[in-house]
Amino acid sequence: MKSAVTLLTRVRLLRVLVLCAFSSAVAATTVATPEVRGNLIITGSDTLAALVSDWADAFVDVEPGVTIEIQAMGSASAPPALTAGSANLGSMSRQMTRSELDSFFQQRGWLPTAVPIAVDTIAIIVHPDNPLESITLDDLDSIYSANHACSGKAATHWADLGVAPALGALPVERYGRTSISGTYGFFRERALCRGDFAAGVNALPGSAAVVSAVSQIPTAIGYTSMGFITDQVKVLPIVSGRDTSRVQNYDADGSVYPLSRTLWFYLAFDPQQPPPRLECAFLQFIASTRGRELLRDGGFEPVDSLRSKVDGALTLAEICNDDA
Amino acid sequence: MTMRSVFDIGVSFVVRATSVLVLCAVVGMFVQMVFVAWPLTQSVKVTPLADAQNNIIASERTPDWVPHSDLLPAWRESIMGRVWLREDSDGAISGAISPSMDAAEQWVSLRFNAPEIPLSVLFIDSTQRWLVAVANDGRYRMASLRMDAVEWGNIERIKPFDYHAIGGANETLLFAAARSVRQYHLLKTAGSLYPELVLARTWQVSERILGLAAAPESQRVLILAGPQSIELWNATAQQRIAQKALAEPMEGIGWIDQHHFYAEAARNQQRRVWKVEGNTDAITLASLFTPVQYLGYPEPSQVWQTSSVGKGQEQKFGLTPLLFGSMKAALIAMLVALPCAVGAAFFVGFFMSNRARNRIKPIIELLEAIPTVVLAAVAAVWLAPIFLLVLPELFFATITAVLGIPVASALWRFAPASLHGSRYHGLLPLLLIPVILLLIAAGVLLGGYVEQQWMSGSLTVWLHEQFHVDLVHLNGLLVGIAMGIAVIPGIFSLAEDAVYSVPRHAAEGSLALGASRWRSFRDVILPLAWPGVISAVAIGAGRALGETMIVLMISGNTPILDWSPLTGMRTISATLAIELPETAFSSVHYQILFFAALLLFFITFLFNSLAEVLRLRMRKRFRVLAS
Repeated sequence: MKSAVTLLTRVRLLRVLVLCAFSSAVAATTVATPEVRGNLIITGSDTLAALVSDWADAFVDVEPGVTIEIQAMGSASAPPALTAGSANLGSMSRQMTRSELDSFFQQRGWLPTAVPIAVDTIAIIVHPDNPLESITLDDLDSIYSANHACSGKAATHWADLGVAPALGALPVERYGRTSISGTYGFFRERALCRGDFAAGVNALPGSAAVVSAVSQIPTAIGYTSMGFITDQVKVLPIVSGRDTSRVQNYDADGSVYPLSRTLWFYLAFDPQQPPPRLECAFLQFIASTRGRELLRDGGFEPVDSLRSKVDGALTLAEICNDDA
Repeated sequence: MTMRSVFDIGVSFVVRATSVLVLCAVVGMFVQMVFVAWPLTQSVKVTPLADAQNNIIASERTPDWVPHSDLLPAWRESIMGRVWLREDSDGAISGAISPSMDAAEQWVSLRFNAPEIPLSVLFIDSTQRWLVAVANDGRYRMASLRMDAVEWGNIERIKPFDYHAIGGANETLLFAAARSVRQYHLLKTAGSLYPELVLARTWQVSERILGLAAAPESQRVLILAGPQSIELWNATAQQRIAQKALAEPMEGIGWIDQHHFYAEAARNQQRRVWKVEGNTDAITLASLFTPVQYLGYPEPSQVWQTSSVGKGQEQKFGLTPLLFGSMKAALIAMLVALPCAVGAAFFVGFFMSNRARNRIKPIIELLEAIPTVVLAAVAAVWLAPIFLLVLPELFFATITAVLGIPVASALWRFAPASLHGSRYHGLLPLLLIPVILLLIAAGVLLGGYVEQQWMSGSLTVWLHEQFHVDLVHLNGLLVGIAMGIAVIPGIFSLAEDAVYSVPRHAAEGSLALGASRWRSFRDVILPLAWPGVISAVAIGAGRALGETMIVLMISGNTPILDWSPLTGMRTISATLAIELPETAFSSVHYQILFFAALLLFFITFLFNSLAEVLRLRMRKRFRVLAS
């Protein structure tokens, strides 16, 4: 039994090779009845690359007749690939834009189907003894940024955030991820107005390391994927400051958490036709217990715990249970 | 030929073959690194495309965003991001913001005025927070798009200009007047509601500028300098990266995509197209090691920030902080390791009895068996969180131990004569262990007392209030201690060998003449052994420079330029470990990482060569001594 997961991801090749070797060893022990066959090509998001390749490995173990190719060149690469028919699934960390939908429609005569698959949420954490109750996006920029593109000012000590002495006199020790992490890029885009991280931000090689450091250091603040939170740290809510971004706060009442985004799969299939078996099998696997486990391991949240609303998206059942 | 000699020949062949292989491997690695980094030295190539290709490429590129014609029939300004704009016939600017990607149907219409200014630039920055309107005479206004009501800021003024271009993924505005190009960026200062257009960079070209165009998603700027010359500049480096003389005079220039540009004799006439290849990032030794003016920064700085948000954002390749970090980590580690390792080597190699030496030496060398990742994990999980709490104790324990041991030795003279017998001589150090433990305990108590009494209970608060010194948990001292422990056994082992291998009869002579053991060591053994000791130190330093796991896990990977041992650092080795697996093959970033690797290789190679030269010299001396 040989799982052939061809990975064209330029970056995670080594890790995936190890994964492949490992998963074929696991696959040998599982008894599977092959139901679907074929080649699935998934193109798109960088952020989702690791998760999608984990899903793909696990799915191929269950369905050995399937081969999966992953190309992770960024969300923008998904719509053209779907339009041209060179990908079955497009993974995106945003929804398709109007012009992307337009050009898809012009080519194919119908619209692609969007399936929300995961929520990527960044939590701001501090030590449990920290008296701070909430934080603003501008504060985060003051703390983490080198050039303070959002806020225009720096916050180096806890007193700058309005914390009373003892802790107020101490420096804010900033923890975060290394530049290769999707969390890093997402935080930088949303909280730092695309500015640079300050050189003094401690870049740790894993989310769990950030949580562990913050749980032990009273002067620390950290950002991490929601999936890694433990009860050893205090999660700070983000409140709207004077200058809270309206571009990112989609709802009129501003109730949407600004450091959260939904990640999507786009399917290209004619709504008049029966749903594609292979794609649906893969989506159903994602929704299964094992799929959710992998999702949480990757630091994401399942969609049903989603706090922001997902407009007009069809549920998996609605898409795939079309027997007519 | 006996079996034995056949065996000997075989073994010697294998030994020679492997040493040649190792040499080949080292040379091969070097060649590979140079090969990967080599494209950085290549100059930019600009090649004209043949006519047949012109038509294909010159056909209009579809923009990323097109106005939705049903909704907005009258809009004529270009679109950047999610905000649509137009200038109405009465001079007012109106716009619409698509409030959400999730709800593309909901449009919020905005109307705001920019009276009396004939606009030439209408520009939205990449974060889509600021709308900038610039008039030909250099007056500009700025509006915030994040507030519910869009309001204009004051009219400010930059220098008048003839041409403008929007470049580098909408982060910057370029203006040209006469022979100079000026690049402005948005800078927000504390307290001000609106950012300002601030001059970031400026440079001169040889001829009067007749056209200006910035390549999409990059810092490449095309300039029509006089009617018959095209210059290609890299704005970040402020360097001309290519120049092309034109056969016939041209009027307009522009980009087709990132790598193709055109020139046209008159508007929409026959275009000529060129292709740009090569090192357009204009990476030079100067740009790697000296401060560079980046967009969004108030002054030139040395920054290592290799990832970018959105396409076209400047990548910042300042290698100085990394090189500095490697040096700093190694230096602090050596300061920790050197006294311990060399002191122990002197003692074990000369003063200790053979019997004790045979037991102690393997124990210290056993330390080397601990994988550095284990050391790093222990330091990260256990030591780092409590490091600042125990710092006063650590400090005073070091002081009491260092000062107390000589005092204890002096007191030893008054010990009863029966204890001084040679029987115990080799075991003397064991007697020192309880003394050291006592001294450390005293130091810990003293540290706790001093912190309570004089520093009002917290060293960190006290240091901040008294000296404005901030302590952070992941700092150079922590790295120094962990890495020091990692390199101590190596230095100790080699330095001890150097001391021990000095022929004994050299010291015996001076001892026989009545010199004390210390005197014999200082004046006879040390002058012979020092090249070996220095060589051991050099090898230790080389190892500290290349050490990866410890710095990766506990240095914080902060690329700052600060000699203080109380701040962190980011080393070349840790950067390679973090970034290399995720960097696009043959990108400039990849090439620079390999250049950094080459640099590291070169420095450790220097240290190891020094060690080898010194060792050879020591051997020669011994040979003279033996004859």
